[in-house]
Amino acid sequence: MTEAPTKQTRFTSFDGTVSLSTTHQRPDRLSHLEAPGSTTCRIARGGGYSYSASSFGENSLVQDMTRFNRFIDFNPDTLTLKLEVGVRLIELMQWALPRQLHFPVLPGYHLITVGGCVAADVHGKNPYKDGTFSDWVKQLTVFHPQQGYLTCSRHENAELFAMTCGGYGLTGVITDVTLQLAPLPAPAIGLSQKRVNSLEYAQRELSACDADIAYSWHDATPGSSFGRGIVYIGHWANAAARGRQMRYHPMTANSRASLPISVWNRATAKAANTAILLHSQYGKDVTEKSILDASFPFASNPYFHMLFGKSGLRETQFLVADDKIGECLESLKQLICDTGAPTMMLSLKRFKGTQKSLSMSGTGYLVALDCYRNNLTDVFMKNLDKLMLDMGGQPNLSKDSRISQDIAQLSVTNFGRFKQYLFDYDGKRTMRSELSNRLGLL
Amino acid sequence: MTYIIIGGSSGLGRALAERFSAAGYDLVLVSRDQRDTSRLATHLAIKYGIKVSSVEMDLSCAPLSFDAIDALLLEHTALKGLLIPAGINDEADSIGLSEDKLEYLTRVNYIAPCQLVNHYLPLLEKNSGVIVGFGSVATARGRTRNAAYAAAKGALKSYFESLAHYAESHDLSCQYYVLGYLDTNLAFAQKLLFPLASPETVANVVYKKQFTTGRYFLPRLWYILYRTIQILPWAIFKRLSF
Repeated sequence: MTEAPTKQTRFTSFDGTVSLSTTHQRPDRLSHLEAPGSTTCRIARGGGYSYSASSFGENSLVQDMTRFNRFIDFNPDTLTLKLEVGVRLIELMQWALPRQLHFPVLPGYHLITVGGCVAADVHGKNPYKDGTFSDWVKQLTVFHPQQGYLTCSRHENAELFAMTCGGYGLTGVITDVTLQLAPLPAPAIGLSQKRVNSLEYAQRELSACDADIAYSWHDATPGSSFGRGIVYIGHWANAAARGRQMRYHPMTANSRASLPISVWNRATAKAANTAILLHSQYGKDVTEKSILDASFPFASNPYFHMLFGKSGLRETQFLVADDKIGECLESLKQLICDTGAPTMMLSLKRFKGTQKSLSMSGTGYLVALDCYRNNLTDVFMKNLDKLMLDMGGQPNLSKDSRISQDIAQLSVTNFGRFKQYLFDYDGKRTMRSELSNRLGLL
Repeated sequence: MTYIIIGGSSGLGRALAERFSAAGYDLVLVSRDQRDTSRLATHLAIKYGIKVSSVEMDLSCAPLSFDAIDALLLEHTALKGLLIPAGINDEADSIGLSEDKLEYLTRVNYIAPCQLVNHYLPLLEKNSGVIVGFGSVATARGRTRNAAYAAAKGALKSYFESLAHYAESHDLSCQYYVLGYLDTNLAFAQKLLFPLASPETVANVVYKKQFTTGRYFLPRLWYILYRTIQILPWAIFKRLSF
């Protein structure tokens, strides 16, 4: 059995706030996965786009899975596709679209791997309608150093399946995934933009629509402009997409942080948000976009993230139940405007998730907030944690690199159950990352 | 038309498999690990709609049996090419290497590729075929490290020169690539002075030059480095440690 070569590599979370050096290997055959000793602590890594450090950790061997990117089986009758975890979303879609097939749950960046999507149980542009990624996963194969290869689905090893979807790689290295594809409804997406003056108005708009794509974007800088924004509503369209296919810019955690300083502060954030709002005012009511352009908005526009520079950004996402969202948005506005928080933009999505692992589960509204970093950021984030707990919210652990064990225990619905399962399943706790260490899953 | 790719499950072999299948050729993939090769075969069949078969073969075995490949070729379109990106080196490879390791490195890097060429030569000649071999810049000049590997690849280079000579008077194309650093697992953990070439870039060049006969350096920069190492005065060369 040959072992893949290893080297020391410094990894950085995509938000730029966690960075450490650890052993790294890039297996390209199954025997490489099996070769390290069964007690060697390790964690799998996909594209490296998690905001929190879930794919690396101190004294944990990082196994880069991007070379495992083969399509293993396709059943045209059931439209199920079995593939390896290193397949990137753009590769999946470039294969599926010419065959008149579609995958409904696509996060905003095209180079994220399928394995990363399962591990974080990501969501797409309308989680209320399409659910989360795991809702479209039929079967998984997980390699655990002490237990070997385990196949799991909703019918076979159901508990392992539930814990692996949204389990951040802590149940083992996912080697392959069987996805349920859907017939492609139409060749393009008609995307409309509706300007709104408040978060509450946007939330009402989102609650009333049954579109294929539905989310909102808002100016989150403190002041009178807070909450102004755009509600994006998309429907499948039989028209051809207008304009050229956008050019995609590959971005990594390192290239994102290439600027030595952050461009964003209250003035620049306000100016950029005003420009976006003005631009939307003169745009067309409905724009026909290609499915790739509508699905991967950050692929053609890396500048928002890059301008946060080396110091990085703080993002947080949390889910609030329907009956609490009004109060939550009001409190959030007050917190931001009263404290002059370093917030930049905010986004809302209606959400439905059913997982039992560390991922968000339940129905409600997803609130996403991006902050630039200054001396107020950490205090604001602590106050935000308190607000989230008061509202019974659940955090998205892949988007927030500082959620502590205490906060997770109080807010992640299935935290206790997940922890118990993990210790029963793998007493030696072989799979480890900075995230698992931070959450006390040692 | 069908191409046989020896060592086709990862690295350059995989990149060649992707490139030739994207062009619509059928493939027979040969490698040591059937699990990975059969996965790649299925992947290429799903992605490009071509016929791909996989065979397990260990080039270090003696005698080498071609029965499994021959049987598969009966089910395939006519054989057009044989690509041999296979090769292996050993961290312990130095002067004084043990007999079994010496034999292993010689078999995998020299004897087996020659046997493959000889076995499929008649069939390839009949189909105006293509034979592609791959060597290494380690053959520029013998040094303490990689002694057996470089000697075996040097012998293979000589064999391919003979083959190129033969090809000129027969209906055959033959290329031999001298490869510098490639972005594969072999180079992954090494601190290297010169940039890595991606296997995909090399595969693209191989695809474009397949109907020529000659020796090529990839990346091209290595031609200059290779020649420079060869003409370095001994007084300097003996002091180098690389």
